[in-house]
Amino acid sequence: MSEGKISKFTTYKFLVLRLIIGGFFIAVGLDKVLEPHQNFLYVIQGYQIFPELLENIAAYVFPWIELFLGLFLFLGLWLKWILRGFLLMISAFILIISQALVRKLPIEFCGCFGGLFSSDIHQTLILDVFLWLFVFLMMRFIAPTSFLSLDKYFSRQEK
Amino acid sequence: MAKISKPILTIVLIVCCVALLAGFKYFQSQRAAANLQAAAKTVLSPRAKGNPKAEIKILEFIDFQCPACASGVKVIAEYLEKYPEKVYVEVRHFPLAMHKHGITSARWGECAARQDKFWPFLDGLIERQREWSALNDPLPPFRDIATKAGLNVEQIKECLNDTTIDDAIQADVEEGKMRKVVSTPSYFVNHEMCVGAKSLKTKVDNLLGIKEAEVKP
Repeated sequence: MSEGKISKFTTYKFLVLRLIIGGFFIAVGLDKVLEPHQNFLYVIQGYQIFPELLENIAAYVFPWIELFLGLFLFLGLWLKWILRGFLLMISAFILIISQALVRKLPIEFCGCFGGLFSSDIHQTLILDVFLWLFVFLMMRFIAPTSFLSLDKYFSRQEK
Repeated sequence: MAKISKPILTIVLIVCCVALLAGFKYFQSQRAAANLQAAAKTVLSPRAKGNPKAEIKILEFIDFQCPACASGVKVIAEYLEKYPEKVYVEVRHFPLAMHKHGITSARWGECAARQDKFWPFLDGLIERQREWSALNDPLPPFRDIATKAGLNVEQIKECLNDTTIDDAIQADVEEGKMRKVVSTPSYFVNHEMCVGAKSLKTKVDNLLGIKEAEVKP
């Protein structure tokens, strides 16, 4: 499939994918932002990867990053950069979960999605791998992903 | 219509979101504080230990089957032993759905509290947590722990048929939800939330002025 020969149907598929992943991260980020940060701090501590200060910073900052990446993806604003940010963030999630599995850390449930739903870390790792692939696809096919986006609106305005 | 540039829209979006959520969080915390004041009068059967006038008051939400709670119980036990005048602990039930014996153990714990033997029973539960957690029927070890803790097992049988113990547990769970508890062990040290034994230790050590960790989680 090349960028030049993309059908209307494929364009819609990428639009739906963008909205679903964006919406999903808005919901996850919102849930964590509105909860006390201590709940997410406890989740981070379970992975035993960061020093104490970084754990605290991550507990405050990560939910906001998830929220804004999700919001900007949903709206299609700064798409190229946002997709890169997503790839980086999901790669970090995959690494963090993998090291927990290798070290056999006693993590009962992932806690990655706040209070929205709970999954064990194996399920979360699979979900993250799929998310990574979807985001990679969106990055690779940026034209259909930009359909009905604010980026498109602004580029038309500039012309 | 005046044109808005992409960077300006980005900044407006971020500022609006942060302001909106900060406002929402503020009103949420105000409402929760008001609800907690009302709920404080209706809490049943508090399970407390230590000096009620202590400078460090810990409210603990616990699921007896949660392994992290076992670590937390040991940390608190050491604080109570080393600083009996400075620490006061109150326990609330918060059995989690993911633990198959969470509710059963909470019901036994509540009945132990009604015979004023909550703490020796809790010690026994925590000591043998791995054993009874792995069983399909945890009642034989519960009976054994109860007997060793000096409980009247016949009275416990009667107590387990009393629906008010479920009301007491539910009241604790509702209080926990109001306080935004989602996992166990969750603590409120002088009203400030901390989740997990590590955060509890950091907080209490700070309050006690301990620089080097003497009590290990």
